[in-house]
Amino acid sequence: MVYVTSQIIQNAHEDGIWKVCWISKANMIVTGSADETIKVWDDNTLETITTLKGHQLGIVSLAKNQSDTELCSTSLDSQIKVWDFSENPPKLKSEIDVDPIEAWAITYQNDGKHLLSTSQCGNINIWDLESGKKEQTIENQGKFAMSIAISPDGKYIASGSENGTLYLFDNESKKLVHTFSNHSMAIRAVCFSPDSRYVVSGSDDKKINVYEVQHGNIVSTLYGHTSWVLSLDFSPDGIHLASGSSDKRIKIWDINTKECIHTFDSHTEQVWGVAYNKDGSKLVSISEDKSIALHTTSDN
Amino acid sequence: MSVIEIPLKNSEEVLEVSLSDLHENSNEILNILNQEEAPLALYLNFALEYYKRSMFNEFEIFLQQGSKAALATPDQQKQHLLILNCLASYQIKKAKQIKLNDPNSQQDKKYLFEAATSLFNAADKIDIRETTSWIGKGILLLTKGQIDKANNIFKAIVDTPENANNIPALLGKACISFYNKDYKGALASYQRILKYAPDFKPNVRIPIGLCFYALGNTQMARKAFERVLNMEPDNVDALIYLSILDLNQAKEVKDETFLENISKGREKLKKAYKANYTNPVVALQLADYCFNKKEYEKVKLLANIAYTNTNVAALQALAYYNIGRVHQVNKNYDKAYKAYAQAIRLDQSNVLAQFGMGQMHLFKNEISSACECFEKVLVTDPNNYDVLKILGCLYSKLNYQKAMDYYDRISRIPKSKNDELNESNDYEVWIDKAKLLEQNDPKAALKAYYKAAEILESSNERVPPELWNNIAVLYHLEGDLGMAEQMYQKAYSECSEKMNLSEVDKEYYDGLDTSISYNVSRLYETQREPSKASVIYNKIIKNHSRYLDAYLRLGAIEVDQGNYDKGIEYYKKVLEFDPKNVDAYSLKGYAYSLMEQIRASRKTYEKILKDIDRYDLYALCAVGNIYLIAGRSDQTKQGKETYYKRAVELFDKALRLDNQNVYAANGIAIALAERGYTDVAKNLFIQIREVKSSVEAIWINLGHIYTELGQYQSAINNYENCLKKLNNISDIGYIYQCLAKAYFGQARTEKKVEYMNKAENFLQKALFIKPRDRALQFDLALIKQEFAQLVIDQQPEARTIENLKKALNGLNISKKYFAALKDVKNQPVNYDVNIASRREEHNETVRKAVIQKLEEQEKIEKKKKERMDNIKLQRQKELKERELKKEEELRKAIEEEKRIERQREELALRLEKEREEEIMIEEQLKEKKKAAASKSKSHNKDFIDDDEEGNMDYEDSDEDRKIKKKRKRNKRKHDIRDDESDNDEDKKNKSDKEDDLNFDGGDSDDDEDIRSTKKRKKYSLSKDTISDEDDDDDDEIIAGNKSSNSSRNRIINDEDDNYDEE
Repeated sequence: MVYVTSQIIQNAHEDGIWKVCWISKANMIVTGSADETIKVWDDNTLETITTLKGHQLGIVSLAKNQSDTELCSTSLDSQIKVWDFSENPPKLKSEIDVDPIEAWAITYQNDGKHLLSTSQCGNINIWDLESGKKEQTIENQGKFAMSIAISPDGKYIASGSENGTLYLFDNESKKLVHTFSNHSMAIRAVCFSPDSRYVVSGSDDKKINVYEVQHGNIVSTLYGHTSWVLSLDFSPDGIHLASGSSDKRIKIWDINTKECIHTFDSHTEQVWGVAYNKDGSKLVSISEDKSIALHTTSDN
Repeated sequence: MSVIEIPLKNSEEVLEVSLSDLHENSNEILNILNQEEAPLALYLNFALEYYKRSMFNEFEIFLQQGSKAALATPDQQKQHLLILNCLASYQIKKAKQIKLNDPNSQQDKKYLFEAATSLFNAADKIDIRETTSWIGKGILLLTKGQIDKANNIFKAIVDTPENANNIPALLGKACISFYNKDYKGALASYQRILKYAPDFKPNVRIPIGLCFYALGNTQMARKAFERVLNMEPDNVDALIYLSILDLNQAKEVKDETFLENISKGREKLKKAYKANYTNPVVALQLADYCFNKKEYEKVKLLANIAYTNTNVAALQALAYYNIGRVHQVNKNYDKAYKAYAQAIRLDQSNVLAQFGMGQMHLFKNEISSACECFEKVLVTDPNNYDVLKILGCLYSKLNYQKAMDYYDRISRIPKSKNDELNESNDYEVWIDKAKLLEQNDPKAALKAYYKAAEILESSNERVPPELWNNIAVLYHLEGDLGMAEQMYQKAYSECSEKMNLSEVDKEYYDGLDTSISYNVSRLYETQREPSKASVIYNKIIKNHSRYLDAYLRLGAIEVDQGNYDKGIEYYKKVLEFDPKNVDAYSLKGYAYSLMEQIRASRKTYEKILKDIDRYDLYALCAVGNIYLIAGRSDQTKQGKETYYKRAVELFDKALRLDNQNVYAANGIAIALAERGYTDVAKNLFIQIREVKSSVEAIWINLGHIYTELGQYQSAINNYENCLKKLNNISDIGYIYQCLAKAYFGQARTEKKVEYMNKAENFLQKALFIKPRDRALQFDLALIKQEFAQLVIDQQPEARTIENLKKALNGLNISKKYFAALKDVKNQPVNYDVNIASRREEHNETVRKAVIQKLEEQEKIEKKKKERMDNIKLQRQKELKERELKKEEELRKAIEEEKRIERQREELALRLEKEREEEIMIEEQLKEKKKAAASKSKSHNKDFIDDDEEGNMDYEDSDEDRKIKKKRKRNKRKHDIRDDESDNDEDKKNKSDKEDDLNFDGGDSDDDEDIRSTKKRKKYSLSKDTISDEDDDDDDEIIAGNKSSNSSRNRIINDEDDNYDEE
């Protein structure tokens, strides 16, 4: 394995970049920034394809559907915007108004028609993207839900809360199946392994915890970051995990040996987002330093 | 002569007194002398005889009687003089015997001097020119220590021709010159004595030798002493000085002659001692010898001999010094101290005693007194290597700058004389210097260490592992982690090398190895590799189960990972080993504070203060901070006061222990600020910042203070400055929030939307880091609303549709936020719910205002656009017209040309005809020709006129246009002001009037100004670069005109040419 930072675009946005999403089917990387815009980049050349405007404040969450044809974005302006990515350039499809800070983290339901969003009181709201209506609420009297993920097989929903508790729901019954209290601080990142066997959480307590979904037990804890863990993504083969942190570093972990096998020092400020491409040969990272970095993560 | 004859009065007979009878019969003799009125000379003679027999009482009595008798016999003045002089000299001699260190007899001494003085005065009455009395007076002054006056007297004597060779005067002069360190002068005087009195006793060759020695000519000195020894083989002075010369030579030339010289010296010393064991110089020299042989009791004895046999303070001081150093080697430091003190009291310039004293002060831990002593040594011996080194070392604890000076001085002294570089090659000096520099100038320290390593390597010595370790630590602290790691590796390998070399030092080097391992782990921690560090710490603990620092670091790593309980376990383990380990308690207290167990944290810190060290600065400040926080969160005024007071007490204590303690000062400043003494607090913070700008907290606090004082720009500067230094994300988030607040304040006071945008920008960054903070959500809503308000309040000229639209959108967001914020379920919240609800209501008012302004602005923009379009249209029209005109002119010109062509053709035709009519009258023909020419010329003139008129026309229209433009602009302004003053009728009227009044003049002036400055600007630019070019924009049209003009001219010229041709 060769790990090299192959390309860095400085000043990719006018302000810090907060979210990133790799839409492999469209060969696009999408970034959302504090400068209120979403930019779409050619994932090969890193040239700007288009700038999607419309949000009033910084972009706090991005989510793509499973078929890579649609993207949802939310911002501090408390709006969900749905963008059509089946065409190039992408177009705004619809907008949904939500209450302030009531769609902090979002993810697509695996039917591709619904969007799950987290709320300040810990509930998870399910929106029908067609009608723009809130269809269901998964009640969870907890703290601020800061992160959400859905398992690739569609069976589980995971949500990390502000006080460090990770909740695991059954997607069908919407019932809480597991509660993990291993973190002591906010969980800003959750992610399922591609085979849906593991769920990992990254927390302000600098740790990454790996849990087995089926049995609801903690498998391991990955130490190494010296500040908050802000973002996580699994490599498509499920062997590696990438993490971005406010210690300005990106770490690549081997999920089996639980060791950090590489550290990228490509950014000068906190790394808010990391994302693998479809075959796991590349990793994109974005940072408060306004830059986008592309890393090679295999020798293919 | 064994008999003195006393002539009997009134008789020729004499009384013979046998000298052997002197002892018993002094009274009888004196009576006879008095009765027989014997000549004064006899008194003198008897006195001298008694003196020879050391019967000083009798000596004095005879002289006194003689002096008395002299009163009756005025004819024997010469003798009287001698008697007086003798008596005076004896007083001086007696005075000399009274030692300086005998306080009880000092008064007696004074009386003796007075007696001598009055005797000399009596002598002077007899004959003031008598040389003997003058010499006596000189000696008196000398004895009294009035050297200069004495010198004057001796000089005066020697300077009179008849006394040029007066031996006593010469001696006095030589002696004074020597005392004044004028060795050449002294030498000259002594040599003069030698010339006139070669057999003078004591032998002047001795002082001559000393002069040569003092002048550095040891060879001549040796010759002089050896000559003395030839004359008097037992001369103690010659022996002792020669012995000293031999020994010195042995010290200087350390070759095969060394032992020879030593033994030669010792032999002479022994001989001198045998000859005169009371000679102080001999005794001291011998004492030195015995000291080296460690025969300390003998040293003491000899020192005593020397002391009792000299009046010379310097020698007495040396005697005390010898006693002192014997006490010192016997570890009798108190006695040594006293002896050295005596020595120094006797002779300030005794370097050896000063050095010893310095050591004694050191022993008593009186560092600054020790430094004083050593510095006195340096006064006489400025390049004393050891003393400089000691001083450098001592001052490194007291005074950094002074220590640096000493090390600089040392490092400039080349150790061997052949050293070309002007630098010390003593690696120890460089290491000491480096150690000193470590605190203040790590880069220079690094250099010094490298220098030491270089010196060692160049002399093929191994660089000790400690040195590499120190270098590595410096790199580590400086942040050059790569170099640090390299150097630690060097230290490692050097250390294991040493371990293999000797069994003896194995234990030491094993310890060193562990230290280096520990340092490397610290490096890993800095490199943010805590797990790597943990591995090594655990290894250290495995080998050295009591290496407490490793436990502490393991604890700190756990705490850093948030595993507080695990961390505290490590700290507890340390406390099991060492129940008074302050670090363990401090770290434990810190861990509790991170766990927000404030009480436990405080108890832990207080334990340090109660049971271990009540002056522990860290604990004092930590508890102080806890009280500060308690004060801040306490709701009652009284509660606040008590907490702040307690906090300040603790900080104050810390400050009294360490007046440079930034954290304590900071704490006090915070307490002041919290209690409302903003200005005092500000000044204090500024002072602290000057002392230690590296502490971020100071910048933050100053930011807060400036925000409080409404000095937002200063606040922003401070916040932004510390933002650069922060690494902790939650701190960064907090500063974002502070910056948002400061920009918000600045935006509101300066009414600038840009600042509000900044505020919004920072606030959303803060919110992104800490989204659950509802106060931040509240702030965001507030910023959005205030942004709208600012845009409404803006001058219409500054207002843009873009901002109005942004304001409107922002108000939507703001409303949503306020609505959510006022509707809270979970109390308490960290913002005011009532304000949220009021702000939400207010939102609608602002929204309406924005919508209204937006409509107006759109109208204005529309008008503006229309007007712009109009102007554009008109301009296009004008351009078209001008083009048409141009075309017309061109067409005309072409026509004209054609016409002229035609005319020419006609003319030609006519000419042809005329030629045909050659025969016709010539006059007639000429006339015709003239007429044709004049006609064409008048045509030409018409053309030019036309042209000019065209120009005029154009200018007119241009002017016209300008005026129109102005009017329109005026109107626009008018409209806006009308709209604006809707709210305030009075204002409207007034401002309208003012507007009307000022309008034309003012505005056009403005216009003019702008134009002219524009032009001027352009001018100044083009002046240098393109001098030909005028204002291209403004004169474009005119220039175009010119060109068409010139083309026209060309045509005309062509015509002229044509005509000329013709």
